Amino acid sequence: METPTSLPASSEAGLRDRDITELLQGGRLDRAFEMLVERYEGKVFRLCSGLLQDPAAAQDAAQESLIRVWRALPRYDGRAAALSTWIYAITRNRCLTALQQRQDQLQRNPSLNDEVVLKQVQVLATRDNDRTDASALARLIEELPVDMRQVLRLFYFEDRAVAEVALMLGLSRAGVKTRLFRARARLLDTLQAAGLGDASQWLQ
Amino acid sequence: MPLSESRSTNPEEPEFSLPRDRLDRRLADLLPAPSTPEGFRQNLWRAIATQSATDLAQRRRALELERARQLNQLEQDYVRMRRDTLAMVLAAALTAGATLSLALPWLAAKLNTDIATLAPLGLLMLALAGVAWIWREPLTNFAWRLVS
Repeated sequence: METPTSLPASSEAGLRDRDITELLQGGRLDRAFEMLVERYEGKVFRLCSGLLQDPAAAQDAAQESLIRVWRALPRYDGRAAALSTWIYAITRNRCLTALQQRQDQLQRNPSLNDEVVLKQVQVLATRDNDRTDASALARLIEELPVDMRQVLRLFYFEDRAVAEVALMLGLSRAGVKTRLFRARARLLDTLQAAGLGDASQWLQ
Repeated sequence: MPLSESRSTNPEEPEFSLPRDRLDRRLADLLPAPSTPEGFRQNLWRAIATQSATDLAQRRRALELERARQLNQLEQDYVRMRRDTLAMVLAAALTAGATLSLALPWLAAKLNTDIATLAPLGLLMLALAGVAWIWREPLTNFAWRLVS
C-alpha cells in the first residue's frame, strides 16, 4: 500500500486521519467511511449545532453532510486538503445552505424570527441552576454578532480546543482567538451596561 | 485578572490563555457540547442504504436512456447515410449521362471517329477514374511503400 506521501507534511489534521487516508488509498471505501463516521459524527453534529443553533436542523444537516461525504469519498484527494478540513468544508456548506433557506423563510414570515430566538434562549436558560444569570447571559450570547457567537459556542462544545474550532470554521487559530476575546469583552461590557452586576464579579 | 495569567488546561493549546473565571464557567455551563442524537448513526446508515438503492436505480435508468438515445442516433445516421448515398448515385449518374451526351459528339468530331467506338472507351475511362478515386488512399500508401 502506498504511504500517504501526498499528505501535507506539516498538517496535524492530515496526520490524525492517516489511517483513514491509507484505507482510501487502498480502495477500502466502506471501512474508511465507517471509521470516518465513528471519528467525525459527533464533531459534524456539534459544528452543525454551533452554526444552526437548532437541534432538529443540526441533525438533518449533519446527516446530509455525512451522506455528501460518503458520495464524494471516492473523489477525495488527500493532496488538496486534509480529511477533516474537507469534511468540515462540506458540513459548513450544507449549514450555509440551511441558513440561507431559513433566512428566505424568515423573509416570507418575519414573525418566525422572534419564535426562533425565544426558543434558543429558553433552551440555553434551562440548563443552568441560577436562572436569572443564566437567562441574562443566554440572551446576551444570542445578541452577539453571528461570527463571535459561532466561535464561542464551538469553543465550549469542543472543550476549549482552538485548533479544532479553527479547522471547523476554516479560520486561522489567531482568528478564533481574536473572536473569542472580543466576544468575552462584549459580554462583560453588556453585562455591566445592563446593570447585571459589576463586571469584576464575573471575573472571579 | 489579566488575560495572560490564567492558562487553558487544554493540552492541544498550551499557549492559549483565556481566563478561567466565573464568566468562563458560566459559559461552559450554558454551552455544553450537544450529544449526538440517539439513533443518529442508524438513521445515517438507513439513509445511505436508501440513497445507494436510489443511486443504482437512477444510474440504471440513465444508462438505459443513454443506450436508447445512442440506438436512435445510430438509426437516424443509417437512414441519412442510405438517403445520401442514393442521392449521390443518382446525381453522379445524371451528371455522367449529361456530360457524355455533350462530350461524345464533340470528341467524335475532334478525333474523327464514331460514337460507337468512343462511348465504351469513355465509360472505361470514367470507371477507371471512379476506381482510382475510391482506392486513392490504399494506392497512395502502396506507391509510397514502393518508393521508400
